[in-house]
Amino acid sequence: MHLGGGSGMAKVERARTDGETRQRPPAEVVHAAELTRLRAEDTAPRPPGWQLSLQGVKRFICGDGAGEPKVVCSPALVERAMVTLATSRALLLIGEPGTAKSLLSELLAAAISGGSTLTIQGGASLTEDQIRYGWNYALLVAEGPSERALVPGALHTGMRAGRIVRFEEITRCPLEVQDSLLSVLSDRVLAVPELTGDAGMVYAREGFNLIATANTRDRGVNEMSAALKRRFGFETVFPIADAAAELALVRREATALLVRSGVPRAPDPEILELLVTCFRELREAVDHEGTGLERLSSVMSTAEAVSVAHAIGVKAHFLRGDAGRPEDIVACLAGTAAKDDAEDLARLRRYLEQRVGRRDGAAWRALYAARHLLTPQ
Amino acid sequence: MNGPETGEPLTVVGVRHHSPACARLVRRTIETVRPALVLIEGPSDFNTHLADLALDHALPVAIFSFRATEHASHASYTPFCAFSPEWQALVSGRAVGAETLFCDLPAWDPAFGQRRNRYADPHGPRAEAAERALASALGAEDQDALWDMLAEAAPEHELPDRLARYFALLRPPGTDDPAEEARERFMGAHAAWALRAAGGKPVVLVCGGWHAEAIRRYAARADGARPEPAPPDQGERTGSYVVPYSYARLDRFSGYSAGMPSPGYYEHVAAEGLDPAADWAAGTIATALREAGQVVSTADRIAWAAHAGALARLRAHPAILRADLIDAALATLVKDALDAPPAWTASAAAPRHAALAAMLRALAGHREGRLAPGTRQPPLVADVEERLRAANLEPGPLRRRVPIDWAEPADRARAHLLHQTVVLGLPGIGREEGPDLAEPGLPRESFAIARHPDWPGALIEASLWGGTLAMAATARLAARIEADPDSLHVLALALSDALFAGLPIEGDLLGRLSRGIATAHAVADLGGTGRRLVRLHRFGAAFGETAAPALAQLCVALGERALSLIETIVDAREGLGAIELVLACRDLFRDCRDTVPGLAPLRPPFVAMLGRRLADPDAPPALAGAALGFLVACGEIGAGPDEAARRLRRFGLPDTLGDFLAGLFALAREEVAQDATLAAVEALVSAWDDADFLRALPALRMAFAWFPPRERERIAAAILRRGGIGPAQAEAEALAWMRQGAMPIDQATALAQEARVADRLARYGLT
Repeated sequence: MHLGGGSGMAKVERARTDGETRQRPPAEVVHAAELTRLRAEDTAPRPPGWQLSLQGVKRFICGDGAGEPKVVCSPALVERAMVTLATSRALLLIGEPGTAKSLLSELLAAAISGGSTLTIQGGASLTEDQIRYGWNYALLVAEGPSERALVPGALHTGMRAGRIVRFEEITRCPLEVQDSLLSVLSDRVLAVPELTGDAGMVYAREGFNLIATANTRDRGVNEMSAALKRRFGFETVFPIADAAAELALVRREATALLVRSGVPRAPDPEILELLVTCFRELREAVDHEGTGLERLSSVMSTAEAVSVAHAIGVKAHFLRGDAGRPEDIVACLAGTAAKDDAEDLARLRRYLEQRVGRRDGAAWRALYAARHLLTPQ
Repeated sequence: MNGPETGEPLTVVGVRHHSPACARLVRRTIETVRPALVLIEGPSDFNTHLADLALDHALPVAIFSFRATEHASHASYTPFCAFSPEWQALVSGRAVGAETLFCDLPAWDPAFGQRRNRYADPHGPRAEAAERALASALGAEDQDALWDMLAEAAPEHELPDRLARYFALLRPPGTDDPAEEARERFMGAHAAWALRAAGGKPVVLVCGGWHAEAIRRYAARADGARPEPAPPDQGERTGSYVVPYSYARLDRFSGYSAGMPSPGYYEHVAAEGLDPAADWAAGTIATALREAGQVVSTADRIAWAAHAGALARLRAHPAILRADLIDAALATLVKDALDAPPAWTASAAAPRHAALAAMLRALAGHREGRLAPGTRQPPLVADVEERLRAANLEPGPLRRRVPIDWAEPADRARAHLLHQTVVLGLPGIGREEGPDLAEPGLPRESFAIARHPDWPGALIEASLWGGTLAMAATARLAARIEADPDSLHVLALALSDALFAGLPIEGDLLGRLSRGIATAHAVADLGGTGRRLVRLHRFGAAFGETAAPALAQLCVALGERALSLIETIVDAREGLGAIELVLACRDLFRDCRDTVPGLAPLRPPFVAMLGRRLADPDAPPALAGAALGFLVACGEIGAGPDEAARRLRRFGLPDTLGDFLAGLFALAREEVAQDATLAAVEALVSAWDDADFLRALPALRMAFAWFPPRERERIAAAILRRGGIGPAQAEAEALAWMRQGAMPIDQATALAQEARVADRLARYGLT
C-alpha cells in the first residue's frame, strides 16, 4: 500500500508506461488480483455502473480476512464516502496534507470503476478545456469541429464511460474553472456546442461520479462557491489517531520503499518509534506528559514520516552500512520542519532542548545529544 | 439472563442502564415470571421510602443520597427515566403484585466510594479493549453504535442471549472485580435472602449487566440472612430523597458518565420504535439547525434521508439507527472541514463543530422532571420555605427587588436570611447591589428574588449541607474554606459572607486569617484582603458585638504586616500591586484610629517608613506615588501645588510618570488633583516626542482611570482652555473626547503606524 501525495497527471503518464519499469503503478494494477477475487466473490447488489457492491468496496479498502487494510481510517468514513458516491452526490475529501486523501480517492476509484487514472490535477494554471475537452488543432483547422478532432478531457471520458473521475486539490483551481463542474454535477450532462447531433451532448452513464480532494492548509485560497459545495458531500480525513497503527504503517511503508531503493535491511524499530513519536508530539502539539508544545506551521504528516524514515534508511545503508541512528532524525527533521518557516527551526530546537532532554532511554538521550545538528548548514 | 428457561427460582436480568430494549426485557420477564419479589440495583436505605417513588412524578427523577460530616460531604444520584430498566422493574413489579426492593449498598457505605452516579459503567481497560475489538469486528464506530446494533435493534427473542454473550465478553464469567465486590456480595446476599423469604416462589433481580454473573455466584454462596448495611459513622449525616432530574443532566455529553446518550431520542425509541424515533430525530435536528441559522433545504433533507437509509442497509441494520442518522447528517449537512474527528461517544470531548453540537443537543431532548405534590422532603426544604415565608421573601412567579437597609434592625434579619441563601447557592435569589468598597456608614443592599425552575431540586440537593438554613450555609462556607485553606482571598471572602449572613464565625477562620496576614508575601493579595477587612470593620456595629473586636484585631495585624512588607518592595510590578495595600492602610489609619485599639502606636513608624520610601531613589514609582498620596491624605505633609509639582519632576520620565501618578491619584485624588498639579503634568508630557508619549500612554491611562468620568471631562476641558480655546468650545470638545467611538488604544496604534510611515518616507527623501 502507498500513501498519497498529490500527483495526478504524472500518475496518468506513469500508468501508461510499461509495468516492469513503473516507479509507482496505480492501485488497480497493484491490487489487480485482489480486485478480481472480490468481484468474483461479491454477491451483494451493486449500484448501477459499479464493479463492486458497497460491501465489496469496503472490504477492499478496510480489509477483510484475505486482504489487508489499505488505509488507516475510520470505517464509518469509508461507508459515508461510498454512500455519498452511490447517491449521486460528488465526494470531497478534505484534510491536512499527508493524510492519505489522494490514496483513499485512488482506492475508491479503483474499486468502483476498476481504474483510478482519470485524474485532474488542480492548480492555478488549470483551464476549463483540460477538464472537459480540447481540440486537436491540426484536425480542427483541416476538418472543422468533428468527433475525430475532439480531444476528450478526464471529465468527458469519465462521463461517457461511466467511471469515477478524480479531481486533486480542487481548491487550488480558479473559481471559474471550479464552477464549470456545476452543470455536470447537477444535470449530469456535458454540452459540446461545437458538435451537432448526438455528439453535441454527452450524457453521463451510470457509474460516473467525481471524487475531489482539498487541503485544509489551502483553505481560503480559492474558497468553493456555495452552489458547488451543495453538490458535494464533505468528508474530513484526519491524521491517524492510534499511535501503534501509525507506527505499523510507517514501518510497512518505509520497508517497502527501502526495498525499492535497493536497501535490504528493514529500518531499526527503535529509530522508527522515536521518529513517529516525535512526529506525533509535534503534530498534536502535546508531549508525552500532556504538556502543551508550540505548534509548528509545517505539516508533520504520516507521509512525511515515511519519507524521513526512507531517507534515514538510504543514508545509513549506503553511507555507513548501518540501519540508522537517532542523530539522523535530527538532521532530517531540520529539512522537514523548517520547510515553510524559519521560526519552526527555533521551535524544533526548543522541543529538543526542553522536552527531549527530559526523557529517559538511550535513544532519547542520543537524540538530545545530537541537537546541535539542527543548525542549518 | 437465567431463570424461567432453566426453572431456577432466581432470575437475574443484567441490563444496560437507560436502555429501552433492556427496559422492555425487564417488563416482559416480570410479567412472565410473576415473581414474589423484585430486587433492583438501588440504594437499600431507600426501601422504607419506596412509596415516594410510587407517586405520580413527571419523569425523569433521581434518588439523591448524601452523606456529610463537618468537613466533607458527598452526593450521589440514582437517576430514572420512563425507559430505565430499573424504573420498569418498579412499575411492573408493583403491577404483578410483587414486593419491590432496592438491594444495593447505601451511598454512605465506605465500599460505595465516591461514585456520583450509581449507574456509572464500571468498565476497566480490559473491558474497553474487548468492546473496541467487538465494535471493530462488527463494523460499529463506537460503543453506542455497537450497543444499538446489538441490543436496541435485536429481535426480541434473541436479546437475552445477545446480552449474556456481550456482558460475558466484557467481564468473563467467574472473575471478581475488586472495586465492585462489596456491592455485588451485598446484592447476592439480598438475592439469597429473597429466595428464602419467597418460599420457593420466583425472584427477579435487575442490575447492571456487569454485575449479573457475579451476583448469581455470590447468591449461591450466601447464607440467606437478610443483609443489613453498616450504619453510617458517628457524626455523619445521611439521607436519600427524590429530586427532579432532566434529560440535559442525563445526557452524558453534559458530563454524565453512564448509560445511554441522547435520552430524548431513546424515549421515542422506547415509546414508538426505531423507525418513528429516526423520523422524530430528523425533524428535531432539522429544526435545531434551522434555529441555529444553518440552511437545511428540502433537497438536503432528501439527500440526508437517502444517505441514512443507504448506510443502514450497508451496515445490515434492520432500521435506521442513531449512528446511521448522525453519520448521514455529517455527510450531507456539514459543508466544512472539521477541526477534530467527529465523536458521538462519551470518551471523547463534546464535538467542537457547532452543527454537530447542535444535533446532539437536539437529540438529548429538553424534558424536565417534576415531583408529585406530597413527596417526602428533607427538613431543609421546610426550614427554608418557612423562614422565607415568615419574612415575606418567598420567590414568586414575578421577579421582585428587595431593598435592604442595615440601619433598620428589622431589615438585618432579612439580610441574614437572604445572604444565607446566596451562600448556599440557591437559584433565583441574587444580590444585585451593595457596597464592595469601603464606605462610611451602614451598608445598603438590594436583592432580586424570583421563582427559578431548578429551585425545588436545588433546595433538596442543598440539604446535603445540613438540616436548617443556617446550618447548611455554615457547612457550605466551611467546605469553601476547606477546599483552599491557605488562600487569603478565600478566607476573607468567607469571613465577609459569614458576617453578612449572620452566621457564627468559627475561631479557626479568624486564626487562619491572622496567621495568613502575618506571613503574607504577595502584596496584591494582601491589599485586596486588607481593603475587604477594613471595609467590614468600618460597618462597625452592623455585625454584632462580638465581630467588632475580632475585626479590629485583624486590622492591627494588617497594619503590622504592611509596615514590614512595603519596606521591602523593589520590583515595579509589585509596586503597582502595593497601591491597594496602601489604600487599605490609608482607610485604616485615617478613618479607624478611634475604633481600633492598638493602632495608634503603629502610625508613627508607618508614616516614617513611607517617608523613607518616598525619598528612596530605588523605590518603584507607583509605590512612591502611593506613599506621597498617603502622606498627603493623612495630613502628614502639605498638599500645596508646588510640593506636588516638585516631586512630579523627579518622576517625570515617560517610563515612570504614569506609575507614579497611578499611585498618587489612587490615594489622594481629591487632595492633589488641582489644576496646578495637572498643569505640571501637562508641561512634562508636552515636552516628550511622540514615541515617548506612546510608551507612557498605557500607564497614564491607568493613572487617570482613578478619576470618575465627570472629573475626567473637567480635566480635559481645563487642558483645552490652557491651550487657548474658549470655555464653551473647550466644554464641547471635552465632551467629544469623553465619548469617542474609536478605542484610545487603536488610536495610539494608528499614531504609531503614521509615525513609522513618516519616518520611512523621510528616510527615502519623499517628504
